[in-house]
Amino acid sequence: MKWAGRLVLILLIGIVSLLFPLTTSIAQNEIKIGASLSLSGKLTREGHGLQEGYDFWAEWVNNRGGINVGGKKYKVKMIYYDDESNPQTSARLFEKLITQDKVDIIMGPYGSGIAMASTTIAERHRYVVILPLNDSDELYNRGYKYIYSVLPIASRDMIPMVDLVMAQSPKPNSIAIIASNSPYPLMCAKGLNEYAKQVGMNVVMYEQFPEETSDLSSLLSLIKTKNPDLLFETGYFEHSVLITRQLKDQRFTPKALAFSVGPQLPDFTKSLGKDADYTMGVAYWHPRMKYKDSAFTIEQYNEMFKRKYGRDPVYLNAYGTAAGRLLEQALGIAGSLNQEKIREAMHKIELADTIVGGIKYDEAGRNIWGRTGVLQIQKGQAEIVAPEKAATAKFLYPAIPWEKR
Amino acid sequence: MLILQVLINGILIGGLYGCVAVGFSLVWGVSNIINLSHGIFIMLGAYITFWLFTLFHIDPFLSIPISAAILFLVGYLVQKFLLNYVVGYTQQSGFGVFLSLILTFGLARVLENLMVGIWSGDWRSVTTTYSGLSLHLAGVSIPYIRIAVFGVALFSAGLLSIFLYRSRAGMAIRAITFNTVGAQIVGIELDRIYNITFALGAALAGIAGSLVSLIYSFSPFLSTPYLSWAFVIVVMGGLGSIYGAIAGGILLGIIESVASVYVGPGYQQAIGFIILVLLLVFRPQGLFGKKFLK
Amino acid sequence: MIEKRKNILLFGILILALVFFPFLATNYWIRLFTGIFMYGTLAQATNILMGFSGLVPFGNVVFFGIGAYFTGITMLSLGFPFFIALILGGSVCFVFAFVVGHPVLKLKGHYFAIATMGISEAIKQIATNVKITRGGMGLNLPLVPLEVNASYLFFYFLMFSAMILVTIATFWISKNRVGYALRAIMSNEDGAKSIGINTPHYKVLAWAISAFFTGLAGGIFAYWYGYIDPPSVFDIGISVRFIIMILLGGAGTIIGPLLGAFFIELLSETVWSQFLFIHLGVLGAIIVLVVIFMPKGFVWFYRQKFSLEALMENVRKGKL
Repeated sequence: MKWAGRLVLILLIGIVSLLFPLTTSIAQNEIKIGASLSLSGKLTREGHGLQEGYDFWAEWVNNRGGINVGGKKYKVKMIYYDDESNPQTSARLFEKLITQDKVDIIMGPYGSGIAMASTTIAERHRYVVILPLNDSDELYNRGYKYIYSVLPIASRDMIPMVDLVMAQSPKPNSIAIIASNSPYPLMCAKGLNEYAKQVGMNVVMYEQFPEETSDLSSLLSLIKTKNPDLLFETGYFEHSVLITRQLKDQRFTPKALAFSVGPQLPDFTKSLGKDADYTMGVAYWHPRMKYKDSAFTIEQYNEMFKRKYGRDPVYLNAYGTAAGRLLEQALGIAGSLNQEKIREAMHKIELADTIVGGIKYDEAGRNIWGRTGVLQIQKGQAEIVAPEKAATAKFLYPAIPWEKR
Repeated sequence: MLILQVLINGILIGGLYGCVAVGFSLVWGVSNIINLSHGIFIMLGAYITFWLFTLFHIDPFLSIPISAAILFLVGYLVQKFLLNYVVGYTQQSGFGVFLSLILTFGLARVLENLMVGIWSGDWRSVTTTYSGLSLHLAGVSIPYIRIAVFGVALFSAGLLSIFLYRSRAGMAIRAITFNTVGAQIVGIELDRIYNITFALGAALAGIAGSLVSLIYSFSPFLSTPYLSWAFVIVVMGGLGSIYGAIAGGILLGIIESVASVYVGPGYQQAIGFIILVLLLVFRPQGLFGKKFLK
Repeated sequence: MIEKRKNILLFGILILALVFFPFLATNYWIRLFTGIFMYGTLAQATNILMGFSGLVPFGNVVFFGIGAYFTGITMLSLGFPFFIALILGGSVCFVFAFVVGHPVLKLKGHYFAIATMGISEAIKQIATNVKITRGGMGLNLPLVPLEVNASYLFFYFLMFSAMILVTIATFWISKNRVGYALRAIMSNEDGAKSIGINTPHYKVLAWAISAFFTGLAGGIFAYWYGYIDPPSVFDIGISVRFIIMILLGGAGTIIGPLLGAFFIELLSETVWSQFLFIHLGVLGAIIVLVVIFMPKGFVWFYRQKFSLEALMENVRKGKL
């Protein structure tokens, strides 16, 4: 009865394959927007932030009847998949969105490694991808034609900070730069390093540390011996908290301490309390900035967001929403859902006013009208200290040593 | 002076490393089970301390016995209801030996996901009022917490040692490592001993975890480095040896600390693994002479 | 003998079906199967060492990574054409395993497994820090110069060929002197030595061959996905996955690893789409259940004619 056994096996396989989802239904007046995000894994917080931003926008635009494309109004339907904070999974999911779900447009994920992998797939299929939070230079140096960033390019992120400290007196003259070993932080640090040298600073250290590290005390001890005026780090949220704590342990207070990611998120001040004061962070966006777009000001956005989610938005949400608004504009110009037309439309975009600042693209998809600001934690509050026209407080320099606080 | 600071950093953290390795070494040496969930048990211990501190304001050091007790129970249950099914296989040759590896790997993933589901993947740590304080001597900064952690780690290892050498259960455990058949002949029930051993290993992981929460940030996804350290230290210090685990831990701590400063922070972990491989190939009995049981 | 004919017929039909399948299926399915073939290749490759000799190279993913990086780097920095880079990648793995194998394969059981893990982790760290691999930034391979649909078919057949090749190699080894030596080593290594078998030589050879094919799969993967970084291609999770496939399907058999790959990958894909959040946990739970109830794998289970008594007997036997 060996045949019976084999038959059972084949049946089993057949049944398993039937569990597969059938192709999704084709709704007539609907635009399907695919987003593969980190809804689990180490980038969960960021993935959820983006999702909230997208969802807010989808709801908002649907409440107004939908997006106007070539005279017809289309409702927006978001399709989400969880990439588990894994680049290969993200790539797989992009393929799924394109070939199986046949979405009309794709919104990008969080995480540079993840974006690197999945945009390759989209590019192969000639699908436009809007990347709200992926600004690592490498992404845009590959000659890809279908990707568009909302953030300004990574290597320029920390430059406003350098300008700010250089405007203080006495001028600082030495800086230590450390970066977490993954694409975005490395790119950020590279730009920072070049610019610092350009303005005449002495870079006493330019090192990378493992992304997964839980202990940097030895590295920080080494930095302490070099006694730089400034310590600038590029990495992710956890690193900023870790470094601040361990610097305090070592009793080393640089005159200015800056992080690419960290101070912008409320959890930073929550975890560190008083120790967070004086740290600088890149202000991609902050609820207290004075930007606005054609439909609402940041204040109004904050209110609406708070009503939906019960708390103030953070930059993760704002960029997600801004990406949605950008899409609206692009589809309006394109007048169709054809990828090539959308692509052309993206290059015609010239938005001086969006809730995240200006948007205009160069041939590689970089947002050349994008600018980051600088924020500084003062008395437990995040204050915008640059650019001047968006500033809420004056920059405090130099930082008071831990022991004296 | 930098070198002094680096050495002290290394020694203090080495105590923690030793604590991380001791439980792992015990279980491996006695039951021949390589517990790939050891890292996640440590995370569990860290979470217990974190929540006791955050919700009930219990001082982290006081929560250590609680963490140890909870993990003891968890370990006991895991061994009794899961691993004992497979232990039979582990004693044979062939693939049986790897079943415990795969089983504990699967268990680790399940626990990891459970923890993420309940507590999210956010990085946590415990910050007390005395967290930032340090001793300053001769230009070197020594955080008080790290001294305390070092002390507790050594103390726990010491307690374990006393248990193994002075109590009946402890002697039974040691008897098994010499001769399982002989031990059974004199009436020792293997199953029960395995249960207790694994439970002890888990309890020690719990203690290590509580200590970890004080110094490092942790999340369910950060369990792997602890497991890796455990491996390297067990090979360095010799299987089943408590002193070996502590000494190996301190040695590893020093090596990593020195390497991260003088070679580059990226190579911190690589060094550990390279040592592991070299030791396995050239000196499998570890640095302190105790030969592997097989 | 009629049995054998029936087996070969069935096998032939299956192969033919798989050859025609991509012309009728959507890209999604083609991609899915390409992934299944990749794991089939990986499982089968490691089966060469593990299935016959009983040694479990937990760190075998290191060859996947080395193959991937070698293919990528030679294509990117030296402009090598893909197939040459691929074969080069596989060959480097072969040599690496051959060289490292001599000292490392002196170890037995657990210790060999752990040593391979240590090697994999060490190489991963090195890859993350060395300039030539672009470190943590990851490596972007040149885009495949094919139109999308053509590229789907290309990788499908490439992986399929790799899987067929490694299966043929496994079959051939099982029938020849190498397989004989490995099996002798599994039963009793010292005994094997005493009858004159040069055990180190065969162990190293088997590992090197498995390394070659693993590296091949890695190289194809790199070109297929277009982007690799150290944590993705030196992931111990991949090793564990294909080892489970081997155990699930039946180590030492020829179709076992392939069945295991097929089953786990399909299951993973279904669980994934239906249970967004907890799928890793579910996979872990499945692993646990499989280990307890089917420790010798499908093929063994199937050979026992699915008898429940035999199953329970073995579970009971597992308890000392």
